[in-house]
Amino acid sequence: MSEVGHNYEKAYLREKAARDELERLLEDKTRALFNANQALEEKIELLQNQQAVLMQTEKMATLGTLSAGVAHEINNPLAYVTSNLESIGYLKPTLVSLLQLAQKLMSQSVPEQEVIETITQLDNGLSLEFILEDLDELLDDTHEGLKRISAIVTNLLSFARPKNNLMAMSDVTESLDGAIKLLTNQLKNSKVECIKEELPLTYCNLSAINQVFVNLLLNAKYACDLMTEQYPHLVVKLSADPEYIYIEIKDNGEGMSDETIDRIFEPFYTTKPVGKGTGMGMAIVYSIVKEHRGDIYIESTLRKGSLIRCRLPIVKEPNPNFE
Amino acid sequence: MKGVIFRGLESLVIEKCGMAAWEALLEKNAPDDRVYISAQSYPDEELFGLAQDVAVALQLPMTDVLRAFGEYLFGYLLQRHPTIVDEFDGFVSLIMGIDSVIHVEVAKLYQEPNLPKIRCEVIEEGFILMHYYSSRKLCLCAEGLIYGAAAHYNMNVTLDHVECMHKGADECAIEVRFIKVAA
Repeated sequence: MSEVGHNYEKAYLREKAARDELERLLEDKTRALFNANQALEEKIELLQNQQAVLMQTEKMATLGTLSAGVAHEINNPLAYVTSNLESIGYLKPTLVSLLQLAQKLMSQSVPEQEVIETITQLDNGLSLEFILEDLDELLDDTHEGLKRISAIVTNLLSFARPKNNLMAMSDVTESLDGAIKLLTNQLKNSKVECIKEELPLTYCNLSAINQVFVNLLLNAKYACDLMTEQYPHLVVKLSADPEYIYIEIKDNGEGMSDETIDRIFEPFYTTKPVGKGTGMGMAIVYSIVKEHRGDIYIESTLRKGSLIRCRLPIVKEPNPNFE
Repeated sequence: MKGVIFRGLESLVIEKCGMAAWEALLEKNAPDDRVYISAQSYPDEELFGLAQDVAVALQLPMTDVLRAFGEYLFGYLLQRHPTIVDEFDGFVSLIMGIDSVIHVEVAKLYQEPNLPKIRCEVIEEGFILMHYYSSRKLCLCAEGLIYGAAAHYNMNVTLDHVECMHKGADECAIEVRFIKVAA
């Protein structure tokens, strides 16, 4: 081999060794990057699981807050349903006698005179006219009471059940209606004004949005309760443009300081007395809004009130990034 | 095909036939100024063209060239990635771990989407049945890699390619019989 050829071969071998070394470095870095990425993915999964647990814990804590009101809400219809059933029980002997008489009449085993006498006797005991008037009302009220209890229990279950990934084409208005019903007792001493525009359906998790409404309304109510000198006034507004759904909750409560606004979405941050709040409510609201690729804005003035505005993009088809 | 395989072929050709032979092969089968980088992907046709011309130059059947290349490739990869092979305690565990260990490592380093699918079952002591599927149909290269692994672990190995994708089978079935070489 000529000297030139020999030099070229040496140069090639040096270049090859350099290529080997660079590739080894690249492979080491790639492997390290892969492993770090895998560890991060595991941590993200762990965090997501923990977040789901936290959300459920917060729900349970909210349920604790709601329980007294819910019990009261159930107790009212339960009281008149019970009373109505007692009244129906009081009517029962007369009704049974009338039915038995009707049976005998159909089988023609009773003389007409006896029928008239028995009916007159029954009418003297309990006025048949009274029964006719009262029975419909008793049954209608009982039915209405049971429907109210059923609605309260349905709303409660819908709030309490973990349904973290139930995304579907839905009307956000349903979440608001559910929350308002659930909070009937909490909000009974407040003026709650709902301004609801017709909303387009959007791909969202109704149960989670329901939690957003419950948490925001409870916070608004709490802020109002701190202002004893005026009647609580909450305004809930739902509106939409072609791209977004807007949720606004305005109160005339105590308002927030700049520090509170800055820290409101921090987990475990709370202005409530020890034992009164978990400090997770707004962190969870934030996480739900972000899961829906939305934004949340706060305007607040101390001793004037607050306005919380959520903006959710209208999604017309399932987005794989949501789940 | 990933550059690391081309680099194995480059190393083999230069070692056995010299730099001029490799340059001539590149000139004929690859674009100008081609330099193979392990992590990069290159057209399969380039590898097949290079291997075909190696067969012509050495006056050997393509099957023999692929087998020889596979055997050489095992040593080449072992030298580059000794830690992967260190995970195995012998020939059997390496063959059984091709899909679950080696290909996982390859996927980490090279993000290769077209790795062959390999299933192995131990039929009895000294006998493994390997099922091989790849759209590239490089089963002969796989045979060579088995020979290379056997040599590394001091095994006498006999391969019987009982079913082959080149003969219309959906996947290849290779009977691998082996026995430890007496010291």
